[in-house]
Amino acid sequence: MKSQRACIVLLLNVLTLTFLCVSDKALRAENERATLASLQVTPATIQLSSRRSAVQLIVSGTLANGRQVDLTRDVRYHVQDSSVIQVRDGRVTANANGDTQLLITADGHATTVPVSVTGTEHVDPVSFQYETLAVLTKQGCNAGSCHGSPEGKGGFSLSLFAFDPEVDKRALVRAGFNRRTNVYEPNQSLILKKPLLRIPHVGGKRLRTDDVAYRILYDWIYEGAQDDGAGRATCTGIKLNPGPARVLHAPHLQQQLSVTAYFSDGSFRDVTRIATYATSHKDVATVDADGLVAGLQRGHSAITVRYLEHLESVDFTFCDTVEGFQWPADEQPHNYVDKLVNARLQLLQYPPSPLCNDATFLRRLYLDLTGLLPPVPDVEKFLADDAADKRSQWIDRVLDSDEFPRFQALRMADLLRVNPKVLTDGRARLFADWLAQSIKANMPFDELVGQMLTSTGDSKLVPQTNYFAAIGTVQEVTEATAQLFMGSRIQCAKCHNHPFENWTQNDYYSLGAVFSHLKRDGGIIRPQQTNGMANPRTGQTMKPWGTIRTEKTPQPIAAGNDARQAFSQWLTAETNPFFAHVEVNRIWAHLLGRGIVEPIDDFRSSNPPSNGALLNALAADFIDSGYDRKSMFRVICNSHTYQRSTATTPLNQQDKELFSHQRVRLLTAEQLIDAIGLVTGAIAPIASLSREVAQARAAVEVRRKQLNTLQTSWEQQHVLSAQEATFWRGGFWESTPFTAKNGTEAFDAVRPPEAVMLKSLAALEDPQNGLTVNTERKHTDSMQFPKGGAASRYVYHPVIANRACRVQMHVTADDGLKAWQNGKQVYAQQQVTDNPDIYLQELSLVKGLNLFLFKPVNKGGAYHFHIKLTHVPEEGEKPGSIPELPGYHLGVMHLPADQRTPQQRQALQAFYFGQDAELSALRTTLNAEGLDHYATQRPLPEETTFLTTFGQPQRISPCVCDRSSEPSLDQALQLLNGKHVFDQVQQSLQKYGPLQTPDELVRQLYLTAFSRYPSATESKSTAAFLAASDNRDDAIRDLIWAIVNTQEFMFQH
Amino acid sequence: MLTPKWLPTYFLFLLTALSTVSAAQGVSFMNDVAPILMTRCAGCHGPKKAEGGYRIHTFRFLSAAGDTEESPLVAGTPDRSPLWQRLIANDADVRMPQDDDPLAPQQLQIIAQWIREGAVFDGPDRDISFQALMPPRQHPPAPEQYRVPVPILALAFSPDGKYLATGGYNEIVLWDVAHEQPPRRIGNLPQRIHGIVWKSENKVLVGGGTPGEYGELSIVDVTTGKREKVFGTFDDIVLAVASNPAGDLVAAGSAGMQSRVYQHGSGQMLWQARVHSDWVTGVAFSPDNQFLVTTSRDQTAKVHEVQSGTLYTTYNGHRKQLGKFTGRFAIYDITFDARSGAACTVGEGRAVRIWNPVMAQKENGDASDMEGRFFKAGHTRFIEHGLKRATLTLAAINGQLFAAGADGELRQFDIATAKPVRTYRGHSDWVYAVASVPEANLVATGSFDGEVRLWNTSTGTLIRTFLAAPGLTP
Repeated sequence: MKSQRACIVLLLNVLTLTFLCVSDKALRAENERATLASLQVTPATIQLSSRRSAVQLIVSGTLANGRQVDLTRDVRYHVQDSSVIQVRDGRVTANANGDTQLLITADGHATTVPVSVTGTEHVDPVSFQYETLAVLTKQGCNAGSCHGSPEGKGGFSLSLFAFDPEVDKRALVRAGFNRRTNVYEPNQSLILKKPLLRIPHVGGKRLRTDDVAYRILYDWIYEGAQDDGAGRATCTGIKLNPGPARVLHAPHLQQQLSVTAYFSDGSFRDVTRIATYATSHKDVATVDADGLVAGLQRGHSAITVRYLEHLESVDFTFCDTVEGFQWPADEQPHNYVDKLVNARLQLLQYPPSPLCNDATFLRRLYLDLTGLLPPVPDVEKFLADDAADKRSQWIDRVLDSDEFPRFQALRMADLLRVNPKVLTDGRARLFADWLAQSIKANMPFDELVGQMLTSTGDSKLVPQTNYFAAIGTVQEVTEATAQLFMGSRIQCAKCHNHPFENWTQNDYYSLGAVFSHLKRDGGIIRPQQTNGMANPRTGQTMKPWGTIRTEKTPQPIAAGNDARQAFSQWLTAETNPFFAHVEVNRIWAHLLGRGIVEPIDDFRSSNPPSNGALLNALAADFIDSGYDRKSMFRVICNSHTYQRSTATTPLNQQDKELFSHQRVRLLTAEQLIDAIGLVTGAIAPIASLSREVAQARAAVEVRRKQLNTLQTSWEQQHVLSAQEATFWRGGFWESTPFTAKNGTEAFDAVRPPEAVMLKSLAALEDPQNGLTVNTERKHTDSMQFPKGGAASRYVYHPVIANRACRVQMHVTADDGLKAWQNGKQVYAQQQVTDNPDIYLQELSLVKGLNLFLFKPVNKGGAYHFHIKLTHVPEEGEKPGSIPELPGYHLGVMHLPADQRTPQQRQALQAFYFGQDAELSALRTTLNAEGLDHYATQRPLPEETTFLTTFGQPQRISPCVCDRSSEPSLDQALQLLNGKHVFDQVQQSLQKYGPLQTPDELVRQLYLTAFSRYPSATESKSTAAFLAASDNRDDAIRDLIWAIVNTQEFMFQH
Repeated sequence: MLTPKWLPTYFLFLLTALSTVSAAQGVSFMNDVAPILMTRCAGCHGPKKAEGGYRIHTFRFLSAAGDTEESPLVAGTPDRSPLWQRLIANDADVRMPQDDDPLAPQQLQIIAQWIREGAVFDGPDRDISFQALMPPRQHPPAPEQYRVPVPILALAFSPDGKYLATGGYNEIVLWDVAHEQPPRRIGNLPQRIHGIVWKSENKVLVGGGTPGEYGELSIVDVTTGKREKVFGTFDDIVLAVASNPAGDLVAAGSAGMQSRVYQHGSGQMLWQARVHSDWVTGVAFSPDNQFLVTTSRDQTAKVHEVQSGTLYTTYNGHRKQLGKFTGRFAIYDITFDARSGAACTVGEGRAVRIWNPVMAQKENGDASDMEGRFFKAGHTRFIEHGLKRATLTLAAINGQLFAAGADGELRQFDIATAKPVRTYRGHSDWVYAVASVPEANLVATGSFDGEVRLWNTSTGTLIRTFLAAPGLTP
């Protein structure tokens, strides 16, 4: 029998050889086979320790030219003692206990693998967790579109990709009245009959009796359909061989994979047959159920392997010889970007396009960096410039312009959801300005992100805190942070382990725990103590991410420590695998129209970069530069890769992702509206604005200085008016939570100094109406009422009376309020209603300081209270005046300048400047007359029909996809017929009417719209058109309308 | 046993034999063709799914054109029949069954020959599904000796309380409660037995089948040990059976979502209904013989008028949105309390619902009081059973309610006061069946691991435990 089989194998080999020899490609194969230089076999030794254990060998050959080739199915295997093992397709399975040698030979090379087999005398039951569940995934049973969907299918529900073994065991065995498994007669089990299509199955044929999965399911049922019992080692990960990347050259485009699972007890097991395989590019490569990869054409594809919740990928590149391919001899890489791009292009045999011309370059550069068309004088100057390095010089010049940071701020503000509908009360402006200033100052990106992620304070005062204020829930913050800075879409992991990536549900809640302790009531962001965040499925409390990722042994975070610090440090560390890569990929995509990883915020091993070496080099450079975004723009813009023509050659037109040529891109909504404005003359060119803007800026500076000198007298005036009033209030302050036996003790404990006070409630204070606190109104509420616990919060309120007087205290509250004045309880109501005229209390103020302490009584739920003091004149007494200013500022004014805290000083100055009409007017001028006219220069978007039609994002998502780049019929109608274009074209006579000659007109128009001189033919035909028209004005309008509707105008080349 | 060496010859012989036989006798559509179509085609072209607008589960459908508007069968010429062409096509996108192995050569031969012989329908009715036209299956004998126990899905005491019937594999087993006589086994019954009703001395009503493909309701004569009569077959397993107090009607509900009532004597079907959108898990006649109530995994109980089958009302107490017991719960069993005439239903969730069909109908009201209805507390009484997981089975006797399920515990309640009476602990696996008998103060439970326990309800003590798997010792 044995010899018979050997004969057949031999015969097959001969047949194969004969067959190979006839085809041309096969001839090439034979030639290369002849130059086999060495043979590598993994694993080097094999130990099979149970009856069913098996190992997939991977036999690789290195050819004389250094290329790798998979020989797993091509070498000959000679087993010394065939009673011990057998080998098929490189898969070694056990026969009986013993030791033997496996000799592997190919083309004169040979290697030996010692094999030992033990334990075959013991039963080797199927593991529910590590085999049964794995094959349910492999056969597709628990996929999201089948029984793994939340509702299941046909009444049968499994957990998605077997992430919950308990649920699966119940569903398979006991639930449904034991309908699905039949231990007595396993082949009668519904879970076998249905996928075998022995009986109708809506999901179709999913199983064959010769599948590995069939045997595993059958045996598992036969053995009692039981789980593995407690105390079994858990799988800690999988390792693929070969990995993590492999380059194959035609005709050897085949590669066997092996998958080994590692367990917590140190053991490992070959799971090649029960792992699940998928390809990222079906047209480039396929992979079969046994892990045999077959390249179909040149290109790259990730082969992703799943085993239970573990996912790993091998990044395959398949190369083939392209007829006529020749690398251009004159192609000299400008920098490392070109070297790496070119290496990839050479490997996959795509020749690059030549560089674009100067005019195209300048227009591309201005649009990418500033969002605007280049100003006409600049175009002329650049085209006339004959310096060899003029492109570099102009790149620096544009990078140093004011417009560059503003346009980049717009793009960043899109992603950070700087939306005035959400960030009300000027907070959007504050955040947007901070972004623009930070980018202008070229703040290192790690610092910029770190400042946002760890920000604390009032979002009306601290711009960075608006990162949190802009996003709704802890979960949204978690998801947005992961998507923005880690390029990871982890939403799926909220309810179950991520289907396509190594994000588990525990990871999700661990990330969530970083932000779960943030309180952000009243737009004030402040961290509170945390233990972590609970995974709702398991109830397990997850430690915040960062603390667990940075330390090998998880450390509980110290009480009061802000988990965001550790996370931010982890995120922006040089070793972080995401941060730098994600940001350089964003910059790359901005400049080249496509990310190296695409979609740009979807980094996962199953979505490999089209040029990994390039991405790594850019990321390393970014880190080396100190996270300098501007420097990355400079590096990329200087590369030939960036400067290549959009015109393709016959040999590179199929390249979509290797950057052999630039991409033609439709102008974005903001770029387009500004370009139309500039061409029609509806908005003034930047150059002419700069003077006005500079003037307004100077005036602002002058006024600020003036006001600074006037501040003292302004303060004195208000201090005086306060002293003329009967009494004035010194602000409201919230205390830290405090446990007191009684109010008197509380009064003593929380009385000033201010240091014990948590924060001023100045924001809620109205000079006329006192203090209103309302926890129902999300953006204005302030006080937090601890649930349960004995600690209470108190509001402290100094009132300064210039003379002894009577006052009326008006109270409304839900539920009650207690009040002390100078240590004596003056008010106590457990239940108060909303009518301020009912709950009154007359009080006497002593001359000087009257210290009030309020304790809200909250019986649960949302809470509000309102306190107001009014003067009750004695007979014949004049009613007292009320100072105009909030007590908080009045209080500060009463302090000597050197005793004020920086926060007090800042707040007072902001309030003071805000009151000044002249300064406000100047600011308006600056905004209205300055760059704010330009959509690309305004970080706060204005929503117009035109802009939204062209894909202006709504700023509701951290995804770049919020900005639509899909062309639509609406867009065509807007350009052809829209009101905006019509109005602007109507105005264009102001700009072009005065130009005397048709040549001058055409020249101006082409330089503005296309950044180039018109060709002779263009000049001639345009002049002829103008001459032929009997109404010059209409003709000019028609001309401009036509230009705006050309592809050359609408697209960036 | 044939040795492998002989195998090819054997197949060859079989093939030759088959073709000779069919050639000689002609192909019967119902006996030879329909079974192939039902197993290989009906999954995509059947009652639940109609890929390409084409179905094959009745002869009317089989011979009508699908979306292609081509008549599928041309009598006498297979080569001009699209049905045949699709079975033998080379193009994988055209060939049927798609994404599956082609039909076996013998099967193809049968179909070709049937078309060649005129594509004649030899069944009684072109509009009734082949499934329903198929004769009841002949079941294999019970296992001589069990290798492993099978879950006890049905239990019933004999009217005198002397015997306990348990559902086995292709059999029911009658155990002497006093444990003096050896068990009697009645085999050649459906694979899984989900319902046993034992009301007259020697006739036992049995419901069961094969999950996913076949259900059956039949009468077994205890004295002869034979299946005496099959009331009807179902396209999925029968999960519940019942007979009315007078004993003249029997009912069954199947995982195929059907409920049916038959006359006991004549065996005629009185009515059938398909009003549930999921498995019918329980059926019970009201003590006044007015209603048949069916429960389902679709979270509803449907009340039918016994004689006509007309839907009287739907009870929605297992999917309440307001009140203390809110949530949406599958229902797994129903029983009636003979004393109060109330229906007791249970499933997922943490309470048994005790309710009255007439009151339920009144509370359902009409469209005009839609809003008010949500706020009505309703007449339902809830017994919090304290079981943490699914409750799968119920029995009511003498005003006492017994409930058990995935927790493995049996709990007893007094229905009138809704108070817990006793908890019976001992099973270490899911309990699927409970049966009681009034005179003997006995209750029996059966679990997934094949264990049956007999309890004394007056003392609460365990009388005996045994493995209901003849030939297998624990």
